[in-house]
Amino acid sequence: MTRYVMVMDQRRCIGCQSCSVACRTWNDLPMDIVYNPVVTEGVKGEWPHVHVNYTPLICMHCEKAPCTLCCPTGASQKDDDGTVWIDYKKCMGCKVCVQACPYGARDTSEMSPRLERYARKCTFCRDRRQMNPEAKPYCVDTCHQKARIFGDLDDPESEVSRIIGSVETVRLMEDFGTEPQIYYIPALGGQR
Amino acid sequence: MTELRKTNCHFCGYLCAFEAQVEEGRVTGLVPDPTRYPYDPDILKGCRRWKMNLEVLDDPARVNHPLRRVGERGSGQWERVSWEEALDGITSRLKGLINLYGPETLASAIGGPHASFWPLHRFMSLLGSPNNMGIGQICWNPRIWMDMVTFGWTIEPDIDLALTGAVFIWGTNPAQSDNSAFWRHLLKVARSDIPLVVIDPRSTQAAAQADLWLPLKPGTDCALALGLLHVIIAEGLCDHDFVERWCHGFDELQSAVAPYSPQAVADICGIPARDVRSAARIFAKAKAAALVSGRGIDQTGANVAATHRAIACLRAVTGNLDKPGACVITEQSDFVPEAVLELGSSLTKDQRARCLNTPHTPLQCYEGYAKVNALTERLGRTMPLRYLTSAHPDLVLKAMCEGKPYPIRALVVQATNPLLTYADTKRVFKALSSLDLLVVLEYYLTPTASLADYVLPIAGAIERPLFQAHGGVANIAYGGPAAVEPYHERRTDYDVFRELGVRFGQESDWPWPTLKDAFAATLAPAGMTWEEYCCKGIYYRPPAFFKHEEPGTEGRRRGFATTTGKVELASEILAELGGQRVPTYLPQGPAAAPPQGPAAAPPQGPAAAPLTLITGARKQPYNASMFLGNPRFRKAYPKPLAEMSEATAEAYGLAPGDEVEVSTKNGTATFTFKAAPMRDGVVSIDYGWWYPEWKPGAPDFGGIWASNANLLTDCSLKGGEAMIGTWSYNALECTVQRIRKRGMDDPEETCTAPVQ
Repeated sequence: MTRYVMVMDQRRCIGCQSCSVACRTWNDLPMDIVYNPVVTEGVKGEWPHVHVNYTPLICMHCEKAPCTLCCPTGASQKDDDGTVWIDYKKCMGCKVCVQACPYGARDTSEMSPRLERYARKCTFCRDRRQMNPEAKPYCVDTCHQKARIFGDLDDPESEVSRIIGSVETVRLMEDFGTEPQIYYIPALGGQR
Repeated sequence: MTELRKTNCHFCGYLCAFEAQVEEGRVTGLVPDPTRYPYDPDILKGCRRWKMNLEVLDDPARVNHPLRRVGERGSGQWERVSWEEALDGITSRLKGLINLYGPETLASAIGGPHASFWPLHRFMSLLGSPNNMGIGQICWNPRIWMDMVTFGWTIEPDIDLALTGAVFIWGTNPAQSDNSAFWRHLLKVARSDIPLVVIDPRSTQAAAQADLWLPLKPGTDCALALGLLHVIIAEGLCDHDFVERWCHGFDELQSAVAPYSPQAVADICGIPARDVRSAARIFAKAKAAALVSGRGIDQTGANVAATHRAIACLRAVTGNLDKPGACVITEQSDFVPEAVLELGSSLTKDQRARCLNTPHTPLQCYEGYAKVNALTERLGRTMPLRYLTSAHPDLVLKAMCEGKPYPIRALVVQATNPLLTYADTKRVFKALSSLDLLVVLEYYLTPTASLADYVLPIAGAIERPLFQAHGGVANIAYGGPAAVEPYHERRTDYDVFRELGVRFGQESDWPWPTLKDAFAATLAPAGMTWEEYCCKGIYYRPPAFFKHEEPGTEGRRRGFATTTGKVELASEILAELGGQRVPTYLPQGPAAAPPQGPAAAPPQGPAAAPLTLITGARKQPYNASMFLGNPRFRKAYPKPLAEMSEATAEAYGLAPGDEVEVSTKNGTATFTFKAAPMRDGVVSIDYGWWYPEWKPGAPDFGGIWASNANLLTDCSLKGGEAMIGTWSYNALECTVQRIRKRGMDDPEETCTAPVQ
C-alpha cells in the first residue's frame, strides 16, 4: 500500500512563501483562494534568544477526513494512496465540506470564472502525479530550503519514514481525531 | 478495460476540454472535464456541437484514405491510393510545375481554426512561394494591423466586473459565435449595473441584453466611431493626461473628426443623434471601458481600416489602453512564436518581391510587414508573417485564370471550403477548375474536395494533439493531447507537409517526427513540458498593465512600439506606406437610403427597390460551411434563411416561409424568408450553406449554386480597402424577390446550371 504524507521541517522554513506562489502558479488560483499559506508568528522570546516561527499550512489529507464523510454527492473522496481530492464532475458547490474541515483547507472562489462554484483545495498535486508517477507536488519541488518532504509512509525506506521514525514530529490538532497526514518538525524541536 | 483520456473538442476555436473513454484504441464515450477550459460543464451542456465528436470520429461519410481523381475534374470518380503514391504523385506534379513557372506557382487557401497552419506555411516558405491565401483580409488582420500601427502591438479586451465601467460589443454576437465562457461572462455584465452598448444592425441576443442598442446602417461603423470621437473631444471627455503624454497627432485627429457631429453621424448611420451622444458619454465617462469588435466590422470593405483605426483612437483618447478593466496590450509568446515556426526568414528577397500583393496592398505585403515589424521589434515582439502577408484572393484568382502577372497552377486547400467560404463562387469555381494541381486536405468530400486532384484524409479532434496559439500575438496557448491514434489512414496536417517537405529535400528543417514532438519543442522555451501542458490544457501568463510607463532604454519610459514611441492617433507609418494619417470615412454601399419603417412604402412588385445585404452572421449549431450534414442539426434548422424585419417584409409582401431570391450585381441565391428583429431595409442571409446530402461533384457540387451567400459577393481589389485589400461581405446592394413555393430538398428543381 501507499500512504502519501508530507513532512514540514519548520527548522528549515524561512517563511519565503515560495510554496504558496508555486501552488498558485501551477493551479492558476484566483486571488481569493490559497491552498498553502505560510503563517508567521513572532518575534518570540527575549533577546538574545529570539525567533520567528513559520508554519506552512495545507490540506492535512486526514486519514479520517470529515470532508469526505459529509459530502452529499461523493465528490470529496480519498484515494487509496491517501490523497483527499474533489471530483469536479460530481461537486455541486454546496460548501458542506468547507464547513466541516477543521483546518480551513477548503474554500470556493467568488472571483474567477474558472471552477467558480466548486470547493477547491490542495490535492498533493494529484494531476502532476497522474502525469508522471515520480513527480512530487509543485510546492515540494519549489522549496529551495528543502523544508517540505513528500513521500510514502508505508515504504520504510522512504525519506518521510526515516524522518518520522527518527525525529520528533507533531501533527496539528491531533485531538480532533481526524488523523492528519502532515507531520511538522517544530522549529525548536527535532530531537527525540 | 476502459481508460479515461484527456482530449479536446475541435468544432470551434475554444477547444473545450473533455475526457474520452477509450477501449482498445477506440473512443466509446465522452464526458466533460471541468478541470480544464472552460471549467464549467454547463457550457458544454449549452453546446450542441461537442457531442457530435463521437459520430464524426467514425462517420461513414468521412474520407479515410487518400483519393486520386481518375475521371474528369469534379466527375466524382476516384481511386484509392496509398499515402506514398499520393505524396509522390503530388511531389512529381508540383516539381514539374515549379520547373515551368517557379515556386510561386503554388498557392494555398486556409480557413477556420480547426487546423495548424504553420506546417503548410513552413513548407511554402522553404519551397519559396509567398502566395498563401487566407481569410485574413476579412477576419482578424484588419484589427491586428491597425492595432499594430496605432499601439505597436495588439490588444485583448479585459472585462472585469469589479473594474470595468462600460462594455461595448461592436459587430459581433457572442451568443452565436462564442456561446462559451465569454458569452456567459457577458450575461453577467448584462445583469450587473455596468452599461452594455451593442452596435449591430440586427437585434441579436447580445443586443437584447443591451442598455443601449445602436442599429446602424450596415457599413457605416467608421462614421459612428468618428462621431463618438467627435462628441468625446468636443465635450472635453478625453483623458487629457494620457493624450498629453502618450498620444501623437491629437490636433490632426481633432480636425479629422470635426465634421462628424452627432447630427451628421445620425444622418449617415441612420440612428438618433442623442444615442450617438449618450454612447460617447458612456464610453468616455466610465472608469474603464472595454470594447469588443468582431467580424461585422472586419468585413465592411473599403472602410475597414479606418474603422479599426478610429476605434483604436477611441481607446487611446479616453485612456482605455493597457488599463485594467479596459484592455491590455498582449505580449509575444514565451513559447516559439508562429512567425518563427513559419520560417518566413527562409524566403529570399526576390521571392518576397514575387508576392502577388506587391504593390496592390501596401500594408498587407512583405514590404509593409517589414516596415511595421521593424517597429514592433523595438519592444521585442515579432508579428506573425504569413497571415499578415496573405495573398489577396482577387490577385490569386486572376493569376489562376489569366496567368497574370505569372501563372498560379497549383493550390493546396486546408481547413476551408473556398467554393462556399470565399467570395464570388463563380469565379472561384472557374479558377479552381482551371488548375493543374488541386490538393485538398479534408474530413469530408466537400464541394471543393470534389473538384480536387488529390483529397488527403486529415485527422480531426480526439485524433490529433491541439495547440491553439492566437496566431502568435499573445502569450497563450491551449489545447491538449490526442486520445487515440488517427482512425483508418488519416494523418495530421503536420505529417502531410513534413512528408512533402522531405520529398522536396527539406529534411533538416523538419526535425520533429510527429506533431506532438513539434508542439513539445514549441513549448520548451516557456519552461513547460508537453505533459504539463496536456495536464493543465493551457499555457498562459497574463500580461502586465501600463507597460508603457515601465522604464525603457536611455532613461526613458518604455512607451509604444511606433515611429514616435507614442500611440499614433495620426499614423506616421501608414502615411509612409501611402495611406491615411487619420481615419477617414468613405461613403459606400447602396446609394439610395433604404426605407425606414412601414410608413415609407417602397415600390411593390417583382423587382422591388434595393435593400442592404449583410452576410456571414454566425448561427449555432452550424459553423461557417460546417456541420450541415448532421441530421439532427438539419432537422431543427433545415433551410437557409434570409432575415428581415417585419416592417420590411410587410412592405415587400413577404410572409414567413416564403422562398425568396436574393440578387446582387454578382448573382442570385435562394433562401427562405424569416422575420427577425433588426434594422429596417436590411437583409441578413445565412452563409456557407450547401447540401451534403446531394451528390458530390458535377453538376451540382453539393448545391453550391443554390443558396450560397458567396454567389452574391465579390472580392475584387477595386472598391476594397486600400492598404489591406479587404472586400465587403456587408452593406451590399441587393434585391429580394418572392418565388413560387418549391421543394428545397429536390436538387432538380432548385439548382441552376453551373457556370463554366
